[in-house]
Amino acid sequence: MFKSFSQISEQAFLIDYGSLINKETNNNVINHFKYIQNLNYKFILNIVPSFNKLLILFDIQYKKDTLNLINQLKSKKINCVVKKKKHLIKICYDEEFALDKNYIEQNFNLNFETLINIHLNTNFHVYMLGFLPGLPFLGTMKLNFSIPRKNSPRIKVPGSSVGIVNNLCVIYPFDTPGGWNIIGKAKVDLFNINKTKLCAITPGDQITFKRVTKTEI
Amino acid sequence: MKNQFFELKVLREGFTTTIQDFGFKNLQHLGITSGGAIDDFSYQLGNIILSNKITTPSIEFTKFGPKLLVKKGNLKIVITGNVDFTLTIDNKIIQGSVNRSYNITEGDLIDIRSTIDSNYGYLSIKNGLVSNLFKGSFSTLTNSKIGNKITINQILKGHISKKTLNYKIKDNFVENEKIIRVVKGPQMNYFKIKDIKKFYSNSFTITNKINRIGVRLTNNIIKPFKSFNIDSEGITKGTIQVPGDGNPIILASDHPTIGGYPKIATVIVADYYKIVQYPENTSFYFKEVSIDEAEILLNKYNNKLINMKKQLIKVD
Repeated sequence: MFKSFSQISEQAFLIDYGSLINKETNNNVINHFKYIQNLNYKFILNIVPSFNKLLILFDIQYKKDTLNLINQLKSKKINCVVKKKKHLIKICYDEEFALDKNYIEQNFNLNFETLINIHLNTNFHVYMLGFLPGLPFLGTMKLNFSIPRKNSPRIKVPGSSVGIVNNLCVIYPFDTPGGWNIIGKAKVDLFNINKTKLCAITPGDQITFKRVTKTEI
Repeated sequence: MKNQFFELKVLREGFTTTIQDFGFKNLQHLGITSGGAIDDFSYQLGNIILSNKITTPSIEFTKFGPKLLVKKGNLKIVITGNVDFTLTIDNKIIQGSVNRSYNITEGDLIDIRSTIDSNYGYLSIKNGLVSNLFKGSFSTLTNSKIGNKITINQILKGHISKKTLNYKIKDNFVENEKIIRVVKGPQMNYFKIKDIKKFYSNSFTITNKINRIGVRLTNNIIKPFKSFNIDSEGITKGTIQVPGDGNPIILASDHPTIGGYPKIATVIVADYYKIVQYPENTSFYFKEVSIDEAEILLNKYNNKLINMKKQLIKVD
């Protein structure tokens, strides 16, 4: 079920699942996302899940069909068997990769090892992919204070860097500018244009991290 | 069978020169944006004049265009947009006309000097180029590392075409409209009524920060009163997002797939190709239309393109 929807342009509807950002809300989004994806309608040009919204881009000639589809989502109980793949990702927290270790310790009165433990003990849910190809937004860590985005983004975050903002975590697929606080480097191929399955991780998957040494990365 | 291909050697690559078509579908959920020709009107027009399949990939250039030498074979080309270019055919230099086809052959040169009062132009080729197809598109999407910009000394290949009659569009046209129509954005309620009024009544100016990702505006600061951030959600081409400094950014064809700034309005599809062509320092106004009107305007826009076929006349 969703809360409401609106047409935001000639060719887009935005469905709202409520203002609470949590796994349950996001599972509703992903459930509908997978359902529409499986229908494989030619007139659906893009479906974009996020924390609590689903964006549907459609061919303008098929507005009625798109509306019918949304009404179906509203009235029908849809329970897509969502395959939740579990990933165990190797991470190294060495200072040469944890570019913001000192910044976090100094500004948030936090021992970095404590943060590492929280990070390692979190069973992360993949809320969505976005911003860059294959970049997963992961949540949620049990942090009782906020670590905001950096004031000025880093010009170049190295690929495979793991960043955090508040209780969320991302992994950068390749070198890029970015504003998240970097705590380590992961060993994972997030986006590969030579593979049939372009992205290793999909929304709804589960991720845990395993601490390794520099040589294993 | 080698002689079935023409070869174009890149003598100068230009500012940002890429291969583009309509871009990608159904990849945005993976973080891969739609991309595609930024001025889809000029892009399609080139293919219409050449009687190409409408999805044939073309070369998109930005401000300063490429210089290309025909190394081998015959080909038929059209340049669209508002462009200053010359052709060297049989050792004679001629000033080129946009929206008109030309037959060129071995030893001839295409020198695309620059766009005029605009940002983008297209070089369309009869039967297109031979390039890499990725998930149904030939488009270059540099921020997803799909394809590469065209570079100096590169050899571009395509199927040769016979020397045939040339066509042009009967009446040349230049878009001069300085009003861009928009529909309400999903977070318009993040802005005070007086600021929304200001958004429509005062003009904006295009900054020098324009590229395929976004167009930054200035000269009319509109600050959201609620919050500078929203929970990141899927975003679309043409959406106008407003970051904390109050200077709106129009999301262009290679926009990120999700965004966390409040969105005040969205440029209608029928006006998107106009605003991306505005050069730096252009002043213009936004005007609100309803979704219903936007739909009618989109149908008109599509019909305008179809009608271009009837505007074709023979030259030579």
